[in-house]
Amino acid sequence: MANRSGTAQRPNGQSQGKICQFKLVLLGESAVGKSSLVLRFVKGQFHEYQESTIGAAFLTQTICLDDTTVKFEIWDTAGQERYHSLAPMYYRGAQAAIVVYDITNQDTFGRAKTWVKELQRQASPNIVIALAGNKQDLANKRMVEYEEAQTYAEENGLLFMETSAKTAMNVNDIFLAIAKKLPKNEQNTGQGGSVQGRRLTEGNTEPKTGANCCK
Amino acid sequence: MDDIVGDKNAKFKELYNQDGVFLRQAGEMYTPMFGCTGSLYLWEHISDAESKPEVPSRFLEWRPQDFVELKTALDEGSEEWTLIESVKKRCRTSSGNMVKDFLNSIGNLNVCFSNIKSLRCSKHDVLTTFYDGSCELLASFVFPTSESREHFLGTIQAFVRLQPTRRDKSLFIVYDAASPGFKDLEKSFAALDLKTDSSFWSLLKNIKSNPYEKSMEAFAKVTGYVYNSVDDEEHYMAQDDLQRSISEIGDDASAYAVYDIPNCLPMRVDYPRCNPLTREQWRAQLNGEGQLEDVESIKTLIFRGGISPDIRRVVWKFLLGYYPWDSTEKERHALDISKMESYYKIKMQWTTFSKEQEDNFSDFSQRKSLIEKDVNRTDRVLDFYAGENNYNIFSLNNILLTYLLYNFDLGYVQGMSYLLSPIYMLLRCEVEAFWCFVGFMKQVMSNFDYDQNAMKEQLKSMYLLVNFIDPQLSKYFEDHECANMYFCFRWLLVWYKRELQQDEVARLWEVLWTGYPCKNFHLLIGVAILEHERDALMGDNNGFTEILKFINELTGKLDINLMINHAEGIYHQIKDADHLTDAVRNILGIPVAEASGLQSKPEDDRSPRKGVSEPDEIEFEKSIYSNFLSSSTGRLVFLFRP
Repeated sequence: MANRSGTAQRPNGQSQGKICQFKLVLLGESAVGKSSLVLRFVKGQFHEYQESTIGAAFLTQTICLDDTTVKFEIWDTAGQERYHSLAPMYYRGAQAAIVVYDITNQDTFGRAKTWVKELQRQASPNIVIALAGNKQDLANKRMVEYEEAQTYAEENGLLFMETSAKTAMNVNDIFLAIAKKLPKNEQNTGQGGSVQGRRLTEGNTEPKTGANCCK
Repeated sequence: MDDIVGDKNAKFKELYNQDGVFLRQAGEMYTPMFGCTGSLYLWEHISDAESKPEVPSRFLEWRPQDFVELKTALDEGSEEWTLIESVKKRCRTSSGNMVKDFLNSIGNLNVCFSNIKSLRCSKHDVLTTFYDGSCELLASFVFPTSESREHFLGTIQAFVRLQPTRRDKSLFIVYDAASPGFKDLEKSFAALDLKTDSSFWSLLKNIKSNPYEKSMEAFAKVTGYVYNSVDDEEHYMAQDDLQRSISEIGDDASAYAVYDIPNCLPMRVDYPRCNPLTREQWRAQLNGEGQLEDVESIKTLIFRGGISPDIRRVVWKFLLGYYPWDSTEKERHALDISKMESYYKIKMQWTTFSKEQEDNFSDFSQRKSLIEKDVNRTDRVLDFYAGENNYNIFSLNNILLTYLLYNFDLGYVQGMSYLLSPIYMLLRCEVEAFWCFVGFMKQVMSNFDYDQNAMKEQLKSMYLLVNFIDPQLSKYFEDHECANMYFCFRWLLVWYKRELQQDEVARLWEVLWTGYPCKNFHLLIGVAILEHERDALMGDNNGFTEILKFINELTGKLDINLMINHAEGIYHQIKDADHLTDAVRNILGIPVAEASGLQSKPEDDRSPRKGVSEPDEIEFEKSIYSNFLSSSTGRLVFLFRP
């Protein structure tokens, strides 16, 4: 998935070309690993007992893609149905969404489909939606088949990957895939010029995913 | 510059002078000069031994310069002002004949400053109108620039205070800063003590069933009440409001500027925190039967300093309703037994479910699975809950499942595990923790409702409080699209649990559980934090996202004792504020009858509040307001706010 060409890397951390900023929201049933995915992507960390998100959390991460610097503004939301009424506030105006389910729990996949429907109906019309089947490290307890999810994703025009926030599998990749799919036109471009890109992962605890990050 | 005006012996000092001021309107005798430009002066009499008492200390003088027609359209304001004029029906009751004599002795337009009781600053032009104590127009001027008017307002504020009326921020009551009535100026409509007229309140009962007629009837009563009362400053204000309300039919209130004259809060007083309630202090309050002698003083001690950890276990059970405050030791023994029995009865309901039964009860099994997931990630960083197969995690699970059966309508909602964790950690007993959790949930249950209305309401209240304490900060939130205050959601849902260390949570919660010094004190804790962080919040042109991030990252950085201390200071500032509004009063449950300076009584005794019955009043205001706004007639603008 990741662009391995490395053409975007510049000496002294300078990345030339345009800067795009995107709002991305994470949705999905509670305890499927939304916060863990973000924490892995932004800080390279994983906490076995990641606390539940109350209200919402906001984080940012910048990655480089060819000659474009993509800054993700990530909204991590509370998953429980009870807090559903707050969700529109967070996905309103989002250019991208990752709908997460837990591959060991069929109900969470059903809930993910509901989120996708809601986004298709109510979010921005051109929103890029990715479906993440998380907890891939627990594949021996799998309740949602890869093919089932993939078929669903294809039918609905979603990006799809199975991920593991624990092992970091496909975490950067899914964000990169989204970045690639997002339109990098003038509208999303920041002030222009060059900007110091941040390392994709700060913790360095994960295996290289081939993500094309600024150094 | 000294000048002599009128009385040849009187010396006057010029406080203000502005050329190019149009006279828009004044008393009839000045009609020929309407629409003329002139110079506006503010004179101050320099008193000396020879001064005659009849010479006013300050007065406005307007001297015509030429007779150029006032051609400025003054379009947007014109309609309003026509209406104001139409109000001039009642006989003028201007005080002080000596002033008239004085005025008549001079050719120019003069207005004795002490006669000015209110003034209005309109938005689209620089029209400024002065009224006397009967809301009669004294003079109406158009300043050449807004700066010149600001300069004028700045000048007069050296000796008077301008208090915007609550309903119409473009109208200011002019108060002599030394006047004894100033303190009570902003007393609300509720403070008029309408409840003395029992028939008036009896209308409330019918208002919903027969809204229009009853509202009209009520309105007529209010009108009668206001006009029939005499010589009272509050009534003057109500009269003034009512007068204008009637005059402004079909008016566009947005045509007026909110001229920014900051309302002054009383000075912040420091209320130092005290030492925690000790075992000795607690024991000293118990009589021979183990009954607490003086509950109020115990609560006060807890509010002031919290509870010493060695007696927290006992005292929390009182604070959370496990034991009644007036129980004897014997009664508490009996309670221990009965509560244990009932806990296990409820618990048995779910422990005896068969696998099949559970599979057929998806509402239960889904919630059960959510509880399991949440408990497994609640406070696992604390030693008490750390590690695999931790028995305490197992107990949290049991308690929450039992609560699920106890209150199945509410179900389990994320956040609850964080409210239970500190309680169980202290009590270390399923039965006690369960019932104490039940007591806590009774206070905060509405936070977990499906519609989230209680949370939204609290966030709104938070905004109103910030607006009252720090208008600049609330303006910032408004301008940066975060007036919804959603960044405070986590604070309010789990009472700052996620921002604080465990011992700090215990300290804060026990203080809040006392219900002192007012209702919703937890909101003032939030206000104190926001105020404390205001510079960081408003720096860098932060928007909602940055603010939310900043707030979430305050975890572990708050000095909670300092915040409680600030919050108490803020509470007293609000309570004693001259411009305290009903909205703020209601949020904090400050009774109308409670004059500033009196010690407040806590809210938590569940006894009906003495004094003015506020809920009725709120209901009344709401129904009246909505009925008037929704009625197609809509010919009257009611004097209440929504």
